[in-house]
Amino acid sequence: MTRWVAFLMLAAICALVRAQADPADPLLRRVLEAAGKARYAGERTVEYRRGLDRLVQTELVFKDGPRYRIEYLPGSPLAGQVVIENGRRRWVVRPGEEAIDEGPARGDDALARLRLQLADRRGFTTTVEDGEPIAGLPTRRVEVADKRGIVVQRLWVHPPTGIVLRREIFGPAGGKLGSFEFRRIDLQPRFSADDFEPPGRPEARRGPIARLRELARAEGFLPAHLPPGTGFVLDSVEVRPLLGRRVLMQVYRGGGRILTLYQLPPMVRPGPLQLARRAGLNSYSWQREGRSFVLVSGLPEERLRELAGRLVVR
Amino acid sequence: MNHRENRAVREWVRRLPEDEPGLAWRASLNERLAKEARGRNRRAARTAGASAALAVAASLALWFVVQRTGTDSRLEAELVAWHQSAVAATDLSGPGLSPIEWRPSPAGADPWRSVEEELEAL
Repeated sequence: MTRWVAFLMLAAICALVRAQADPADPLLRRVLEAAGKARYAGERTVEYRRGLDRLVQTELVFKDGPRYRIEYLPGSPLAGQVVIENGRRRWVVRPGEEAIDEGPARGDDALARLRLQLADRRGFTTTVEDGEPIAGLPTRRVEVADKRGIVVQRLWVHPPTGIVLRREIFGPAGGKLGSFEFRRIDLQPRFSADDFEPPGRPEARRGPIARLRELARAEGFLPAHLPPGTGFVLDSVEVRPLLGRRVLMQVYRGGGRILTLYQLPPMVRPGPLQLARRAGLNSYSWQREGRSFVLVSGLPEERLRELAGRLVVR
Repeated sequence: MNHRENRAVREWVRRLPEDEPGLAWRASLNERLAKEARGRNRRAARTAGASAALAVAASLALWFVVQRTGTDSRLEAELVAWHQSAVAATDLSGPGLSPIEWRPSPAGADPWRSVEEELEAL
């Protein structure tokens, strides 16, 4: 009898927690559900801003539930590149490159942070109102703002399907970091059987850790990374110039969170970065084998410190 | 040489006086060699010590500068901004290519357009 009461209480608590995490507005619930179910073929422009510079890309997006195929059109600097995702794995094929980049599927990670913000009802407020038509379809405009009233993102949603037709993302001070917008969209697409098939031979595929090792060897960095089992997977890696030095930047994903790991010459004081705290982020920096490492994320500092201790060099 | 000549030479060599170095001379030679080896070791140790001290001093100087002056605020600002861009890029790109993954196609140009290029294009 006691066991049954405990079971019912546990079930009630789980239902309560789930209800708290789900957005109250049915339109927002539809947005989150559509991420894994929607089917469409469309053309969208994506704009990113980096300081004063900006980039606009045009993509053809084919989506069949959790499966994606994204192609870059002639005239684009990324022309000919193709991304395929089958719900479990993701591949990037680039013309002129022997290796095919392979990694875990990103799935609905693009909406994961929206989910976290909607669940945090004390930290964020949401308003929904009529929006202008986009790609010939009616929309409702969703605006998410922090507790100071600063807008963090806007979405234009097609109400019957929950598909996000336009999205704008803002920085902590309200500056626009980027946006996308569909120009055309077909809600009854036809796909061919091999549109979402893994490309090429298995031995031609290369995971992100292999790319990290190649870059580290070529640029003189330690092949240091967070191992599997930390709850984060390496998504992308690149080397960037900064103040006359080279910085190895690794971006990890996990549980709807983004974590950035930097490796650079020993020019960072161990401990947290002052500016990260001011931007509402946490950070932890330390030195190892004559190198500075920095982790930046919205995760608590203790968690970052724990992750720092799990770094492997191999 | 014939057999008789060989025997004559052997006899002549046998009659030569023994010329072994004296014990005192041997001892002084050993002492000189040992001293030389000690000097060589000391020089090598001094060179290694100086190099290690220099490396430690350089590391300490860098550590002291970083501790004293803190991290360059421009560097901190860039690291924070890069993280924010990575988060925004992940939200916008979805499964598509995020800017961190951009590598222009062989026929493509630099994907980033500066403000000046935008104005020129107009």
